[in-house]
Amino acid sequence: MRRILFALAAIGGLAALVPSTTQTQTPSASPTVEAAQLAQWIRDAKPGVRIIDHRSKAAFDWYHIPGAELASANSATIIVIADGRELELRGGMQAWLAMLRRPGPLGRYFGGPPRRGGC
Amino acid sequence: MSALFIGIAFGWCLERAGLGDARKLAGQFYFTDLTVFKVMFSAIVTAMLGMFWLTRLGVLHDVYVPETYWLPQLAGGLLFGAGFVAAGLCPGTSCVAAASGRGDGAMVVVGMFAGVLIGGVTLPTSFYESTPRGPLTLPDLLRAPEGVIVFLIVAMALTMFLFVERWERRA
Amino acid sequence: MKRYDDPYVIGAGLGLVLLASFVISGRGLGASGAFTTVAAALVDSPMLNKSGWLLLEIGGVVIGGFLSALTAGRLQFVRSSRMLLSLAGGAVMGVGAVLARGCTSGLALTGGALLSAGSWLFIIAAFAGAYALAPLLRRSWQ
Repeated sequence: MRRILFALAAIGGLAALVPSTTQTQTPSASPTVEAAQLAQWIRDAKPGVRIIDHRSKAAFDWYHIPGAELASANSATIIVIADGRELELRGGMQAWLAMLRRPGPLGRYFGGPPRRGGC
Repeated sequence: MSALFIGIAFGWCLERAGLGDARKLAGQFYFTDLTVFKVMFSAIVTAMLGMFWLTRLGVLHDVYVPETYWLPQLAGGLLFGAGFVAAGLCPGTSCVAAASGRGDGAMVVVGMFAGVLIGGVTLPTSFYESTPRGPLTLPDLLRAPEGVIVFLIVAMALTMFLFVERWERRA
Repeated sequence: MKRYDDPYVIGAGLGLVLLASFVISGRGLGASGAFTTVAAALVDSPMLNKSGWLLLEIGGVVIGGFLSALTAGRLQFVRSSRMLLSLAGGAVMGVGAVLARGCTSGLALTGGALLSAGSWLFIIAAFAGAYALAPLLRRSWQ
């Protein structure tokens, strides 16, 4: 039994080396916005703010930033349009989730993170 | 709720591994019984591979990564390790030990409560909140693709398992 | 009294439990969080994380541990032989767990599987701390 498990682990690990064909992580050369800043804008109902979520539909349905629009491009990027400028959410959904977890009024406004991991 | 059943499975596995016995656990740190290492890293590798592949196949999404705080986690880790070798049980296994009727387990549970209360009240918040890095992962930190990190950890774990098995057979 | 299971096999089983936790509950395992939740009911501190989920889970851990011990013939009422060290060790772990935001279950297992940098640091630090203190405690373990 333990040999089978070792073999499976070895296969799983080796196969991990094959680069993913779907998810593309484009490095951000474009101007960025912080998760906390975006949260402020949403809370203050800043006019003209649009959030374009480029993740998969499944990911979007699981959880998306309130008010986000889905534009599936199998990417991890979330674009924010504000003041006529196109900004990339720095750190993507991970950063948004991390912000929700931090103690403070912003996290509480959004009801905290959708699910928690760890601890 | 599912939390209960997951906990039952968790506790069951820990006891089956023998990790409800403080003496057995402590053996890790005297090189007489490396069960802690074997169980922990088998679990980490299994879960890591599972999480990696389930996320890659789109079954899991946006799994929340615990936040990194360099200094508190370094200090907390050192303290935790020290307490661990003194008690021979960790929070989870202490509950298993107590559930199996071991007095050691109950004592560690009581100690843990005291420790958590003391920590919550006396730890300086500035130190607690210092050096935050958010949901930092090893791929981010080392600027390497996630698949490469997964492969390296699997390779490291399997190599160490083989080494440990050979070493134990000689003893 | 049954023999303990193969550590690699049961370790893989533990990994599967962790995976199941994510798929079913959307979160990983934990233990110290249950302790901090109870403590948070007694003192008000931003450093004590609260989680009802973990309270239920740790309840399950107790049940699971009991059932396993029962069915393996390992249920035995043994008095504590190292009372002071168990208490002290537990206390020190408690402080460490608050600082690190978790313990071996939440950080080493869950965080480790998720490749969290801080969790891996915790793993290394915990092993280092334990091995460093071990020689001084050798007598107590005999």
